[in-house]
Amino acid sequence: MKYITILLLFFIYVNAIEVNLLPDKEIKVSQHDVNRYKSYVKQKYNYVITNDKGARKIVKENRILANEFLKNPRYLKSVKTDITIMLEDYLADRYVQNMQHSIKIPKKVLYSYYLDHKDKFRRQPEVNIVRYRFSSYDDALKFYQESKDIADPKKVEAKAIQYGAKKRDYGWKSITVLKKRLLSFIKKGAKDYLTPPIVNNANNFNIYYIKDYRSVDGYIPFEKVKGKIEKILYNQTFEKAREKILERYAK
Amino acid sequence: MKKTILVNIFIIFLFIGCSSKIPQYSNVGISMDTRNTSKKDRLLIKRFSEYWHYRLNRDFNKTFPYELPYQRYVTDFSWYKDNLKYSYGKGKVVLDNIQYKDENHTIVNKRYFGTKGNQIKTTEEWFFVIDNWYHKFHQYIFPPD
Repeated sequence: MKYITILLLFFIYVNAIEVNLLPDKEIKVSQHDVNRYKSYVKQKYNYVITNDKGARKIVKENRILANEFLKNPRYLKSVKTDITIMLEDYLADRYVQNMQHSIKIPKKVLYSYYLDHKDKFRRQPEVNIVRYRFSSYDDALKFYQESKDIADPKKVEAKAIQYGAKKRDYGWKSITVLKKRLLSFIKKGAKDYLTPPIVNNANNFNIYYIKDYRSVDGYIPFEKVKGKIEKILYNQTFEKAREKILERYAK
Repeated sequence: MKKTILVNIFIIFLFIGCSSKIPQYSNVGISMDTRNTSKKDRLLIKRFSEYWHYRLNRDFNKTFPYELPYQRYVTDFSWYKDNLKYSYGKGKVVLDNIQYKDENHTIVNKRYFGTKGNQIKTTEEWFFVIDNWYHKFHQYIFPPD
């Protein structure tokens, strides 16, 4: 009788993955939390967070707000169902991905993709770039207005120091790694010019000095892009892999 | 001992000699001069002949291994078979020439002669992937024959 009751309870209550939501007693953020948040943002929004401090702040803020939400039991039931659905969706994807990644794609497959899509792997132009960071927008704007017609890096630097700018010399960078808002100011083949002030956040305003521009011939070597190709092929075969795994549970 | 080594060497030479020998099929022709072609080119012509012989006979189990490895990786065989079964009927394919786009990528110019007397000039791509040539297949919308 006892076992029948347990079985009955199992079928009545366990019809999905169980999610237990409890408020956090002390809001703490570990480095592991920060790293996982960064990889979550990278995967979901294709955005790379380079600042750990900023990531930690967001995780902590989210945790505080989520905690407050959980204190009100009125919303818990519907939220639990939503989270269960999202969690199952996420776990299902992760399981398929894990299964896919456990089988390495042969080199011949990757290399044949590389040969057939060589234009995708053409080397992109590079710019020699210096960033001047200002703490006030007014200073950045004044510097820009006074220096935009100076085509001498030393004079530009002296002027920037006058306005208290912090300099960072990036050297040669491929235009593919530049942020979109900066990329829109890059002129093909042009050199020795300044971009207008670009707002980074409330306390940082960047102006970039483009020292030089060069076109690069040829293709990125296969060894450098094979990881990228692997990802593309895993994505293309995701549905196929999912169906194949599910075949085992069809009966 | 010496005899065994000599026999082995003979077998290896025989194998190398045969590996790039261009096979003769009644449904595949070669109109280009193959006498002074490189070993790599001969291998391509051999693969082309085998591929089209099987393809015109609709033996897709045999053509599938000739397709580019990444295409095979992302494509189901049943889809491949269904996709190609309406393209090219019985007839003959003739290889006219080979143009290199780069050392591992070629455009092969060919003509297809249908059984109803129709003739179609087409091109196709072959890639040299590590140690062999592979054909690139396309999704056909209308059958040519």
